[in-house]
Amino acid sequence: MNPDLFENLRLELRRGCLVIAVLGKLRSEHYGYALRKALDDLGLSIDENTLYPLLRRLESQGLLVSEWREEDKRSKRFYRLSPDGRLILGRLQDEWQAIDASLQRILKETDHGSR
Amino acid sequence: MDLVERYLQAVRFWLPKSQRQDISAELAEDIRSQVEDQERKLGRSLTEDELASLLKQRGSPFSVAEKYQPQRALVGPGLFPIYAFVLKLAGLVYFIPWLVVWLGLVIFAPAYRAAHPGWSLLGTLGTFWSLAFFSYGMITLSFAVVEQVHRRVKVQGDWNPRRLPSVRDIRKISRFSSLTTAVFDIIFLFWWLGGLKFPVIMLQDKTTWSWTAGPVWQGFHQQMYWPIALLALAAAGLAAYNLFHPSWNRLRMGVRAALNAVGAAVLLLGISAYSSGVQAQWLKMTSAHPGVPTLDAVRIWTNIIVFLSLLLAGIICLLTCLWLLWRVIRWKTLFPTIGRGLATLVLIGLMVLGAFGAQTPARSQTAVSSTPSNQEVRRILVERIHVQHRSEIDGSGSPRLS
Repeated sequence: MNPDLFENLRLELRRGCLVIAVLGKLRSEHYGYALRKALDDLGLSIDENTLYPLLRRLESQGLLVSEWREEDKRSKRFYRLSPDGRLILGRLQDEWQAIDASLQRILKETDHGSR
Repeated sequence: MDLVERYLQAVRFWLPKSQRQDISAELAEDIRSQVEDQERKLGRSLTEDELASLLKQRGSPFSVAEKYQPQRALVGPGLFPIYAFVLKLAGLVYFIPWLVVWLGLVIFAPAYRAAHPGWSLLGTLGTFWSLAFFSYGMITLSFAVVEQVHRRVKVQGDWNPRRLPSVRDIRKISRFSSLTTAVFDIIFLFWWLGGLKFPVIMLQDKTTWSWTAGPVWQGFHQQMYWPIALLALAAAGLAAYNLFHPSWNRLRMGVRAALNAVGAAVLLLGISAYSSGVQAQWLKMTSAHPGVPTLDAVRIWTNIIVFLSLLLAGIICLLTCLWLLWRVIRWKTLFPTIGRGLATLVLIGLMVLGAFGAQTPARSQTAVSSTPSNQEVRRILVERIHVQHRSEIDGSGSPRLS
């Protein structure tokens, strides 16, 4: 088996989930490093080279808003969910729950079948 | 922190200009936060090695900056299948025939080899490479333009399922193809047997110049009279049969492969035995104004075209035969295929033997009792040329095109 196969599939699976995780966490304001730490503490580590381009993409899509502000005498860029982002997050959450429920049923069915 | 500044400077170099300052400021803040975090855990400042290790984990400056670049492709995934199809089409209809003709000239035309000795023979491929690069470059450029212009247009947005082609049945034989093949084979057969008289080349104009069979054509026609006649008859018969039974089976496909094999043998071995390459005189041009350079050029080029056409036809027959044999071999079951394949090979062998063993004693006074060697053929042709030359001088007639 191709050794990269699992890794590629894992990355593919995570890609969509990360968007929901980032949008979900940005219901409250965070700057980049703090967001990364917060996600990591909740068990979803995300590489900085993935997070910052993703934040920029979501902002350009109008789902996030950001501003540079000084904190602890250092200039930091703070992100938060926009009204559109809040709407999209709600729909994505519904979609995620539906997918999760379906997957649970499918995998349960497969488990029963294979036993 | 000099190392961090150097790192950020290197990243900045590859970032998109419009966002360069903004991204690098955010990256700088992230690195500083990470460094502070680690220093807090360790209770001391990071050493240069530790800092270098931290930066190394983040990735090379180029790989970091590359993530911020918009996704770019000269030809995007939407257009790529069409682009690949056009490239293949160009290869199939232009470059492969070009290469095949070149190989044909190299293999069957000693004069061509003599004119380009040694490595200079490969030099003759220069035009091919130039054309290939130019064509592929132009196709790529055209698709890149289309990609840019219609980036947001879905190419197949208005497709209609009802217009999709019907499911392709590889065993189905087109009735139109069978009909045209049968008709053209019969017309060819009549012409070849002498039942129809029409000019070989349509450029005939008796007031100024006319075409007649050249010595090479006469030798070829005489020797290949029966093999080609039988071949055309068999091909017409198969096409007629296919007209009423429009689906391939192994036997018919094998017969078709055999006919193509014989066709290839007759054409390739025939032209190599009867002509000395591209300069052979297949057709002879007589003109009321001899020595006109334009007419000489027409005569030379017409003969070259006749030679290349026969060569190409032979190569196409050979490739078709191989392709059909491959299809016969890959037919569903193994054992019947082996049987059919053997039968096909025997048939091919018999027909090839027939092609080269066939004689035409009744058709010509110069016919010989067995297959002539190349030297004998040349001797016969030289005699014929002398006879023709004498008859032209005496005004006793011109060579007849059979």
